Amino acid sequence: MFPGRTPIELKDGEDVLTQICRHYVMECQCPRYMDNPRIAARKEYLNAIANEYHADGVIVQQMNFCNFWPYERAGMHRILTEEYGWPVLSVDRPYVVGSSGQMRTRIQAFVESIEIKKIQGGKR
Amino acid sequence: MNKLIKLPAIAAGTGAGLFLASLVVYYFNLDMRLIELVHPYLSKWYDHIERRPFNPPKEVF
Amino acid sequence: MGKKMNSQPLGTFYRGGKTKIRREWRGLSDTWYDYKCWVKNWGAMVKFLAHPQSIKGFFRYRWMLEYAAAPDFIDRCTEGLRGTQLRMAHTEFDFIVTEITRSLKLLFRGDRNIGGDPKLSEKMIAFDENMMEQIMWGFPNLYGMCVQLYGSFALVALSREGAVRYIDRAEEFGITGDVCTMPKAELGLCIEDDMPLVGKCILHANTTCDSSLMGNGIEDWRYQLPSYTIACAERVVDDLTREYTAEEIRGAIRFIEEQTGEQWDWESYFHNMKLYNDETRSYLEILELNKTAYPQVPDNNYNLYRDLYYTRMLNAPSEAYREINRKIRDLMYQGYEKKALPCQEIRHRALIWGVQAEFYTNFSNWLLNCWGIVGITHMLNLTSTEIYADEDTPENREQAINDLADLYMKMIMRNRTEGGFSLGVDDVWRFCEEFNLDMIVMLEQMACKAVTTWHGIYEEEAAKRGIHVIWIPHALLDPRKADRQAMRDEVNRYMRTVLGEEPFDPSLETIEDQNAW
Repeated sequence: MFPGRTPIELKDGEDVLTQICRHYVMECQCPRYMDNPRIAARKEYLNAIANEYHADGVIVQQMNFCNFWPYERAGMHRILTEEYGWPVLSVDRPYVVGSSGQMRTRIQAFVESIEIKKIQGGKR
Repeated sequence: MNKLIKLPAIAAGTGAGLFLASLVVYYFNLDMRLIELVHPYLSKWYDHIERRPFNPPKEVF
Repeated sequence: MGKKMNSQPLGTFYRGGKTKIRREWRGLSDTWYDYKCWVKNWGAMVKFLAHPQSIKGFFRYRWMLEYAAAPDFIDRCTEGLRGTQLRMAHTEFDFIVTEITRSLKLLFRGDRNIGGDPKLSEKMIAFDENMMEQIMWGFPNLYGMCVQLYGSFALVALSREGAVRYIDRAEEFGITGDVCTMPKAELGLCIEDDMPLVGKCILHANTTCDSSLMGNGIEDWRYQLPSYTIACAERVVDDLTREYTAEEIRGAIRFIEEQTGEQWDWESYFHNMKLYNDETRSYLEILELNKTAYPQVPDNNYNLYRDLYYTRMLNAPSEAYREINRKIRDLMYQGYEKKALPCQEIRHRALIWGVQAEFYTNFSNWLLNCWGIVGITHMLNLTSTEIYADEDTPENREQAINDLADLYMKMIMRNRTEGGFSLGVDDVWRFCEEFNLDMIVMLEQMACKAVTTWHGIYEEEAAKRGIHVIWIPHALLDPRKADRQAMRDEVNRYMRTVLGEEPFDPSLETIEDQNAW
């Protein structure tokens, strides 16, 4: 299940609002949860999801001006590439639509590089 | 007797010379000008220092 | 040229190189005093290098080369000053030089990168940059070493380009350009393997901001040591947040005890807190006197020293600060009795607000010398002035944890930028009234998302109150994005076009210091 899509299972005997808050705190994959186990868990989760959906590569993207994501993205890129062996495209993007051309070019180049690797029979 | 006068005189003269030299170095900023001069050469030294790679620790991931 | 302020055109000393053509002639008495301090500072630097580990450290870490420019830093910080102002500045900055050499020597003695003493290293706790070290009061046998300070923030005080390489390394690693340069420089230092490795464990904190906190996680890749993060609440005016932070402090103490085997020492803690309270009282005296028509300890003079004794980042003994504070107070009252002014004429009493790029820029001193704008106080000095419990009683032991929580929530730089609207905005107008200020010099750090969001509010509120606001863009540790002249030009434009004033020293309006340290 994707973050934000898991059902909130309520139990009797505890305040509903508290249960909902706990669910959001524990289930969230936002990098603002930044103790080392949570940071490691996010990378493992991403690897598991990519394997589950038989992905050929991973695009790690962040919105500009978020203080958390640049660090998460930089670390994630290295770990997914070096530890898990995924082809990774790491991009930051502004809020404006005007840069969609650049983004398209980058993704096209990334897809082509994956296809070339497949043609050459290279491992992931 | 001559030695008793000569040695302190030499010491005083040397001291006075060093003091005047230090005043010149201070006023004309010669100490910082020397640092400015050697800075580019000393900077090159640090380019040759062996640096360890920066990798995520295996045991966490 | 001579005894009077602005008696020589200071801008003509810059010739486009790294350093000035000569030092100032300040009249016989002040020049002789400055010369003696110069000799003393060089003595401290030579004494530092007299230790083999210090020499190894000097040749191992690129940033150490910039420390050779410390005398130039002192010259910048004392530029144009005379009389008691000069003596106060030297008291503070010379102390900083002495303490930095002492703590660097200690750091290199324990540094595993250069074959340091492993037993000494085990007695050290590596600290996050800008993080308060008061928690070490309870561990008198351990050393809190702020390992990132020397290679990033202190470095940039000495040399404008000191951190540029490390910022670039962090951006090559993947950190975007919009992130604050301070955590980027820290991270770059780690990536470049240019940071001393000491300590049995590391204590992180969420200072200054989220960027710094996130960077810690990646910096831990280099440390490979057990770490604990004191994640303080950021809204500091709420009792609940203090309770939460107190738990974090308790956790940090337990962590240090577990890692090092040392036990918390209440006697040592309360002894140091007593001295700290004395310093706070002395600081309150300074603030009171600054409210008068003859402020004696303006921002240019006091800011860096206050940062260091507030945070205890150099782990200097508390007794050392007491002695310096006593000297400053004595000089302050001497100056006040003579009705001495910090500059030729006080044209504007200003609040310097925002995170500083001041030391390599020499900005506050320049404001004094060029335009007679006196920084009466600074955002980073307006941190906690609480008097905390300092007698060892059972009730006070519980209170002490809350007091540490209060101090850690009000960490330097973070206190006002992240502490909430009342601390970051409302308090500005309160200070303007309290200190009788007519101007705010707003140091607008481009990448600081906390403060830039309030830009419009500051403008509106200042206009309502008739307070002049001069916006100074800068990029903190990266001089390429807004250099010193760009910062000065903002003031020059405002002073000429809005206020119609002429500078005391026209040679200072545009200075050939684009390559200077």
